[in-house]
Formats: sequence, C-alpha cells, structure tokens
Amino acid sequence: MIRLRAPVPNLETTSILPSPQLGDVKNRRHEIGIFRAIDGTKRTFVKSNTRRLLTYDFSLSPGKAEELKRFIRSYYGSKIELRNHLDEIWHVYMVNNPFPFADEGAESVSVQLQFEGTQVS
Amino acid sequence: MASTAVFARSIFARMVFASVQEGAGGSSEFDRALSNALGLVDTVDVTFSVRNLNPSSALELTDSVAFTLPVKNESVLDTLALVQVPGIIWDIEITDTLALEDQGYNSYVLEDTLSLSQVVVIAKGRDLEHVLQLESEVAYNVILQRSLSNVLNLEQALTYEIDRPGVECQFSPFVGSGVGDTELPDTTAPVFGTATLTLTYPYVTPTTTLVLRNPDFGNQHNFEFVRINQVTRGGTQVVFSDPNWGKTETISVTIKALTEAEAEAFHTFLGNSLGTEIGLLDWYNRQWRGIITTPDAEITDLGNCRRTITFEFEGEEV
Repeated sequence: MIRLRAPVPNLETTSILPSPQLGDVKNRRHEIGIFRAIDGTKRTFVKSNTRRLLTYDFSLSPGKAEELKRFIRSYYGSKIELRNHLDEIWHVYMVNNPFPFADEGAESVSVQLQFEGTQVS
Repeated sequence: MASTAVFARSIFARMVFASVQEGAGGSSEFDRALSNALGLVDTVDVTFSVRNLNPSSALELTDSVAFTLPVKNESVLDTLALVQVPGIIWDIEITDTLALEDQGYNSYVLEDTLSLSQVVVIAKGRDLEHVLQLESEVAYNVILQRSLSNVLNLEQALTYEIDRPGVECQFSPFVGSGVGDTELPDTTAPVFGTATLTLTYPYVTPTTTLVLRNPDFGNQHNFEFVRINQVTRGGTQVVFSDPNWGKTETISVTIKALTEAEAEAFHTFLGNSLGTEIGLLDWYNRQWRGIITTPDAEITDLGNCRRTITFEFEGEEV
C-alpha cells in the first residue's frame, strides 16, 4: 500500500494507493562531470546528494485514478510525504511531467509516477 | 495644649548670639578669637493628621519628624547660609563644610543641589578650593524599560485516513483542512457514464457533429504542468509552481476499425475545425472543450473497414 500525504509539513490530504507493480525502480541522483585533457588524462567533478528517484507503476481503478488526478492537480508543486510498500517514509516531489494515465482495460488505468526526494525514516 | 484639631501652628524661635570684642586701643593685636557655636534643633511630634508640615530651620541643622499617623505632604527644607566676612587681614582661611543627606522612601527622584561660592574680596593670594561629595542611594539602582515583541505564527492542518476495505481501489480521498493557498482536492465522487465519442464544431452552437467508435484501450490522459525544478548549489531541490501558471491536459486516442466514410468524415471535420475550439464527448460521458493539436493526424488503411486514426486533443473538462 502506498500512502500519499500533502503538503509537507502541513499535511491536509491523504490518498491511499495500492502497491506498485513489480519492477519499481530506485535511482540515486548523483552527477559527475568528466573532462579529458588532450593527453588523455581525466578529471572528474562530482555533485553528490542524498536524493533518490523512485519510479512506480500503478494499475488503478477509474475511481482511484480520478482521485490521484485530483491529488496531482492540487499538489504537483508541493512536497509530499510518501509511505511506500516497504513502510519507508519519504519526503518527495512528483517530478514526472506529464503524468500519463492510460486506459488499459474497462476497470484498469495505468500510470507511472516518479518521485524524487529523501528518505526520512 | 489639648485640642483635637489645629489649623495653624507656628513655632518660631529666634535667638541671636552676638559676641563683640572691642579693641583695647593699642596699635596692633596678634591673637583674638571670635566664635559662635549655635545649634538649633526643631522637633515636631505629630500626633494628629497634618496636611502640610514644613519644619524648617533658618540656620540648620536637624529636622526630625516622628510619625504616628499618616502625613499627606511633607516638605523638608534646610537652608543653610554660612557667611564669613573676615574683613581685611593678611591671612585668610575660610572653610565651609556642608553635608546634605536625603533619604527617600516613596519617591524615586532624589536630588541634591549644592552651590558653594567662595569669594575672597581682597587678598594678595587667591586659592579657592571646593570639595563636593554627593551621595544618592536609591533602593532600585537601575530601572530598565525593555520593549520585547515576539511574533509567533501558529499554523494547523488536519488530515486523516480511515482504514476500511476497498480504500485502495475505490475513490476515497481523505481531505482535511489546511492553511495554504493550495486548492484542496474535490471530494465529490466522479460519475462514470457511458457514451460514444462525439466531436462537435464549433464548440458554441455547433453545426457539425461527428460520431466515431470509442477508442481502443491504451488511450492516454496526460497532465502537464509548468513547474520550476532546480537544485541549488548546496544540493537542495526546489520545486515551485504558481497556481496561475499553465496546466495542460491532453487526450490521445487511437480509433480502429473505421470505415472509409468515417475516416474521410474525420478528415473533413479536422480540416474545418483546424485550430478552433471543438467539443468532445468522451466515453465516460464527460464533455471537454479544446482543440485538436495534431493537424496531420494520419489515417492508416489496413483493409476494408480497417481504417485507423490517431489524434491528440488538448482542452479542459467542462
């Protein structure tokens, strides 16, 4: 189960989503720059941070998809609290743009959400 | 004197000590002493209520008041004038010693004013020296007036969740209350009807209506928002979006198994409504208002009654 609450810190809205499909992805958000001199020597510059990118694919009912659409419309620019299926608490932003809702069946709407932020517990 | 009320009481004592030494008639004298020792003590014993009490001594020294009943106003004044006029003489030594002591109990203002003036009228050498020592003692050494202000903003927000069966599948937002300017999600449950995809042109007072098959599964409803998503030099992620900034909703549909006439009708409709607002009634019986953003929408001919068209519509639900 996924629980979304927003906005942080004045939480006012809660939405409960089913757990994401298998294949969820977690990425670090480090960046490196590599500069190669003419003699072949390399120099790297690192920009590290504690942020992660979480990518979840959901299969929702039309009603739950509509609830998520309304949640996104209100809090697409706000920091939200995410409790994922591993019972981890994250403070994240929804960063994918656009948010694609696709009708996969009569009672199935698929959407991929990307969250970027830090784990708080 | 036995009396219960006294309106005027005045005690005045005048005493003059005069010491006179007259010359013996010689041409010069080396030792001659002249001195007056005078001590005046005024003592007022108040046994009744007194409005104004002004003990004073014309020539010093000690004013003492013993209180047994309250006194409204009290003014204690000592006036001391020391005048020494030595006349014309070779050696002059004049010394004035004056000690003022004020003790205040209910007043916070204690003031000592002392003026010392020594004037030597005629002499060969002038050496004037004033020694002044003032002591003021107040129970409160320092009274500080501090202006303190604390600005404390308290905000409260409320959210909740109810653990009930089906909460993961059914429309069930838990919307509390907050303090921000964010528009809270609408909690009105959506109604999903059934309808056939219908395009109308123009949107206001339509004259052209095109009814098509509903799209196959896989059609998309996309949300796109204008946001700022940046990372500061310190690594902090900042996402900001003004509520007035643009929001775009796009519907992408692919309709299969159309006849040639239906496909041509769509092309005709697309050519007539190019860049203008049309109406779209979707398969959930929701009315949309917007424009078709793919003027080059293609028709794929896969055989008899197997035309496929794909287009995108950008608009808002009305």
